[in-house]
Amino acid sequence: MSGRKQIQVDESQWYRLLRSADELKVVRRDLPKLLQGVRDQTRADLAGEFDAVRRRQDQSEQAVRTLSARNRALEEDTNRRLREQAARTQQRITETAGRLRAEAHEQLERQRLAFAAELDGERRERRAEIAGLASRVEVMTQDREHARELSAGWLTDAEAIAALVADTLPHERHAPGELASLRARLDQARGNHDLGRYDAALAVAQENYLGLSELRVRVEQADLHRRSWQAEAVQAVLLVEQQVRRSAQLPVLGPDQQEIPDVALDVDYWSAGGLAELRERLDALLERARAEETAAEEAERICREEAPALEMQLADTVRRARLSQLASQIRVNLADEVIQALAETAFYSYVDDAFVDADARGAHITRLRHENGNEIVLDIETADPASGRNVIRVISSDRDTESEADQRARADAVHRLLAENGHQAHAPAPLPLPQPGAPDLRTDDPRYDLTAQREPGRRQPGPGA
Amino acid sequence: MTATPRGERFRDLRLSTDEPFTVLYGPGVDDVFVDPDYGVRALEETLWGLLRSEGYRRIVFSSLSRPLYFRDPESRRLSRPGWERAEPDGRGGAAENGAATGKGGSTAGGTGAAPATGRMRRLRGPLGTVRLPTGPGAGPGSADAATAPQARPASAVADPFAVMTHLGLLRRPEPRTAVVYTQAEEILLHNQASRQLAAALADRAQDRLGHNRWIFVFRASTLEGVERTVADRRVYPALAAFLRAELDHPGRGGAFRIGYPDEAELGRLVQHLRLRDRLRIGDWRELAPLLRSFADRPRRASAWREDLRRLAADGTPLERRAALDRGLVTSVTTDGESPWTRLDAMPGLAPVKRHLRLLANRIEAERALPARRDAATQHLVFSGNPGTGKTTVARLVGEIYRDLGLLRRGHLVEADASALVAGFVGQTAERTNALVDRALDGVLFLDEAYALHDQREGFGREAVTALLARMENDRGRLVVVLAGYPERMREFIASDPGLDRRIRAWIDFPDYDPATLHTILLGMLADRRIHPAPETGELLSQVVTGLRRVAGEGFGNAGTMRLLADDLFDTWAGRVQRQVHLPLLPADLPERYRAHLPRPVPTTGELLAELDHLVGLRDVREFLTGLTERLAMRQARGLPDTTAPHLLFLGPPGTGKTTVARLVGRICHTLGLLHTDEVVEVTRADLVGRYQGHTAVRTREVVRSALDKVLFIDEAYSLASGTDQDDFGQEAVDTLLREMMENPGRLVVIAAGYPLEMRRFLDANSGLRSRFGQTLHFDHYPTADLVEILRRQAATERYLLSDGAAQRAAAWFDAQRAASPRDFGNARAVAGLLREMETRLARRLGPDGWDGAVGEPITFLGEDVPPPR
Repeated sequence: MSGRKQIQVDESQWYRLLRSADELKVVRRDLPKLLQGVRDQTRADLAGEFDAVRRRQDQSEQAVRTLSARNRALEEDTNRRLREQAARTQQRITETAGRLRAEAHEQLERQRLAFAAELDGERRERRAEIAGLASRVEVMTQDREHARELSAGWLTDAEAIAALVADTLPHERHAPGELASLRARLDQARGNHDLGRYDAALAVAQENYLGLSELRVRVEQADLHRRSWQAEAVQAVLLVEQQVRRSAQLPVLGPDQQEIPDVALDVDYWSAGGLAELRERLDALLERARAEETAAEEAERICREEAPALEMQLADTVRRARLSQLASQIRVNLADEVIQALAETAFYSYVDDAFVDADARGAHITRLRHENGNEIVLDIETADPASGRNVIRVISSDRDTESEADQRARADAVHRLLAENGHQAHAPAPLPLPQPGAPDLRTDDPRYDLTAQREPGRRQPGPGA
Repeated sequence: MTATPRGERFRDLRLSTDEPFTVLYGPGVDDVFVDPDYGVRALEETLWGLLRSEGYRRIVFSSLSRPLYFRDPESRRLSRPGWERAEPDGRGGAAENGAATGKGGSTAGGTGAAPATGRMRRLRGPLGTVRLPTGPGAGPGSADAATAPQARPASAVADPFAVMTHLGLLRRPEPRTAVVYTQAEEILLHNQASRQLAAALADRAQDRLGHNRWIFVFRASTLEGVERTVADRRVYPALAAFLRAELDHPGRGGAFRIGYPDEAELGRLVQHLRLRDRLRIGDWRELAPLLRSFADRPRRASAWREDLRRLAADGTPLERRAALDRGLVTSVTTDGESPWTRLDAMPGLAPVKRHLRLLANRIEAERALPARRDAATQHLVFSGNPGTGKTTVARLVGEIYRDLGLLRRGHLVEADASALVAGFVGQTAERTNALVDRALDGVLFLDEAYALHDQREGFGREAVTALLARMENDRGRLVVVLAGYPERMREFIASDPGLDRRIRAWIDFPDYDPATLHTILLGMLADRRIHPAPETGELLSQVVTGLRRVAGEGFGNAGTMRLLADDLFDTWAGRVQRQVHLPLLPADLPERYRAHLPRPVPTTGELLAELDHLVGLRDVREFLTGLTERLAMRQARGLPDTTAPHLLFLGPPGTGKTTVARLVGRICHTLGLLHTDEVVEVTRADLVGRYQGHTAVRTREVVRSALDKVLFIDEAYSLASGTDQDDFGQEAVDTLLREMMENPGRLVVIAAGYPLEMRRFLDANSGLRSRFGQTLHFDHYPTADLVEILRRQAATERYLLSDGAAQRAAAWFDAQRAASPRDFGNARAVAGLLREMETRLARRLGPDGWDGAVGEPITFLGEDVPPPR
């Protein structure tokens, strides 16, 4: 005959505190070092990106040198400003390495806007200049030769800029169809010029030149904008990836807040594969961040939202793993306490213990034996991982007596001693009635064959755990 | 394993018996024990050692607060593999030191267990052996988070599991196991698993297989007390039945009483304290007698230890003076002489001494032979009057037996047998056993032991039965001395064959002879610092001789001397006041002792002068004259054993028998044959009782009251007149005769009555006739003698008889005698007539009455005598 007792043991306050602990701090520990790592890892990429920008700007300068004197000065000035902006952006991104704070972002944005405003001012001046020129042209229409020369000059400058934009800038991405439209009108102006209608050709050429010049600046800036966000997104994802890598094995602190030697938290094992899942998501995100077609807005979202979300997920996974490991330890501790209590109070001796399926995340089974052959099996299971509540089942097998009264007296004594040992033990189920819906457990249940439960091939915690 | 020598108190404890349980009890249970290795230990520790020596490998203890504990790591290891070390401080006991190394096998395949202290090996979890605070409210913030689990006191084994474990251990054949309940009373009363315990006891009582032992230590001082405790609880019938059986059949070995320490153990205690507490010994020669005196007191070693420690603390050396001053003992035999020397120094007692020598020789011879399986009993009967040294000799017997190795302590426990008998069933046996318990290893001296025989309602019988059982079962540890008056003791011992069989020797203590008594008296006076003057010494010798001569059954011997010495002291002290150097003078002898001084033999003339006053009775006068002259002559010649004869007075009433009896008393007293001249007059009513046995008692009492006197039994024939079964006259006659034989010379019995009927009296017992040496016949008075008696009686009241009055009186007597010859009252008729004459005289004198002088005689005239009827 066997007796059984089921006792629920509430989670400890400490466990609750641990549950609310800020694991972000853990995953973000040693941030400067992490950032340097990301910086080192992304420096070459970033340099390559901006080298491409610089090469394009060199081409621009060559193209500008072919312009007429009257436009060359302006374009050179624009080129200088663009170069300056690119250099400053590169430097900023390198410095922050994916950890752009909000104010840094705003500063960069303000700088971009200021630059845009300056360029805009210059363009307006140019338009006014050209407008003044046009009135003079009307005066000069009588002078046909002079008009032909003027028209040809503007057409050549405009065509040079159009070729520059077409050859070096991703205009179709940032200003789709604009270059074609401008070129169509330029071709029309070239036709008027060839027909000798120089005045009409001149007006369109001037207009087109301005449009093309503006297009060049706009595309150039948009490209820079996209590139900078992309770099930041990559950096942000890489930072989380670094954190994930460094969180695979974490140190464990004891109740005294000191690191427990030779003990580590295998986050993936204790989180039931949570870390591996996180890695997959990170890989996908990094691919997206690095992709050419990723727009600035998407890169910004990766940087601002998606990477931080994964970081939060990492903290959650670590917390889950830690609680799982603690719960396992608490089960063993509980078993230990009950063993001690039964050793002292009932004179039972420890025989063997194991986790079910050799899985430390599952139920813990202990077998105790009395000198007279009686046995008690302790089956401790975490009832609900979220609550940290444990259920202790005490299954006894008395071989020295068949008296139900004796067995009941002993079962009551076990209950009393657990209560005296400070467990918030709920009233035990009366014996020998089984719990509704629960199997009627016996000490010789296969679940309590501890040798079988330790068979090779069953799940084991990772190294060091 | 080497067997440790046992302390004296445990020498007879059997730890390997067929009995299912062993019960220890007695006053020593709470004591400390000084073992042969000079270690002082409490019972638990001592018991542990004894069990170990006996081969018990696993010894488990149980008390109320600690239902299961060990004194040694070996026992623990054998009981619970995997337990790591000694219990926390204060729980393991002094005997257990050093940790046991548990075997690691049990955790080979588990999550792994690490060694821990004071507990089962600790389980290893994913964090190793780290203890996380699991209790509610525990957290990193609480101060005792890390220490709480370790600091919690270990709880005791719960009763159901303790009982389960005890029985489980006892059931195992190996290793040999003893379970000791150190507070049996408390455990049996308060055990929360009494049902399981009762079942375990019942199982164990039936199953005697195996060599394991279940031991109960009770604090009760008697086995009856233990039995009552268990029986009253009504929950453990198996144990109660076991105790009952132990009581009914002592000696089965299941119950053992732990008593008080003996001389040897106390000697070790003193040595222990000498080394440990710097107790100093004042005089080493005094140590042995001191220890003997210590051991005589029923006292625990722990109490002695306290007292001796106090001595040590004060720096007072242990010596006789200090022991007496501190009240440790009331007396110490200082000389250290052997008991034989002291016995020899006792005055008198020659036969006792001889007897004891013989006994001792026999015992030594027996002990020199190969040991017999059944030890002989050594119980003794001391018969003798009080004050004959029985108690003193009993004490010496204890010492002698101790020296012979028969007794371990040899102390004396003294009790009156009547003290054993109690008022209700069972209590008597308990008292008896308690007394025997106290006397174990020594001598139990039961004074007036025959009182048990006299007890009504069978309680005396109960005491005898209990005593007999102990005399038999504890014969190796107990000598019972039954003491009392010889005759009563003979009856008592004869009443029970079992008693007779168990008596090794019967020693008679004769009354001391006068010379010994005199020596004893002088010794007592010397103790009181009184020095008799030479003439006083001689005087006292005569008094003692006189006292001794009249001594009968119950003579006080030394006790009588003590009374005499006290009385002498009182008168002497009253005279000398502060001048205590003055000697004791003859004048200091109190008056009541002077009767014992010899008197000068009076001449027969003086004695016989009294006879002259008698009227008539010529034969009587002749006999008494002859008797007087014969006795006086013997007295004068100093012949011993001169005794007065018993007499038969035959004659009708009123013929002067009583008067003559008184005269006989005076004569015997004057001749020094009787201590007093008193006459005790009795009739049948005074002698015969109402039921069987009563008559003997009454008759004996009457005879005792008449010792040194004349016992005058009037109408003695009525004792033998009964015809039916219920008449106890015969018993009176038999008793009377026996008493006469037992007290020769101590009294004169005079049986009186009508001659014819007295013949029937003499026929009632054939011995009577020879006892009554002389018969005196008292005939009717002749009328002339009656008139003479009337004249003498009248004269005593200053009346004179005129001739006329004398003649009329003679006629009156004749008429009376003729009217009823058998009932005629003789001299008694004279008194009746005198009263009538007085009345008639008064009437004749008329209303004016007598006008003469007060002392002037008056004469009766003829008319004053009434006419014959």
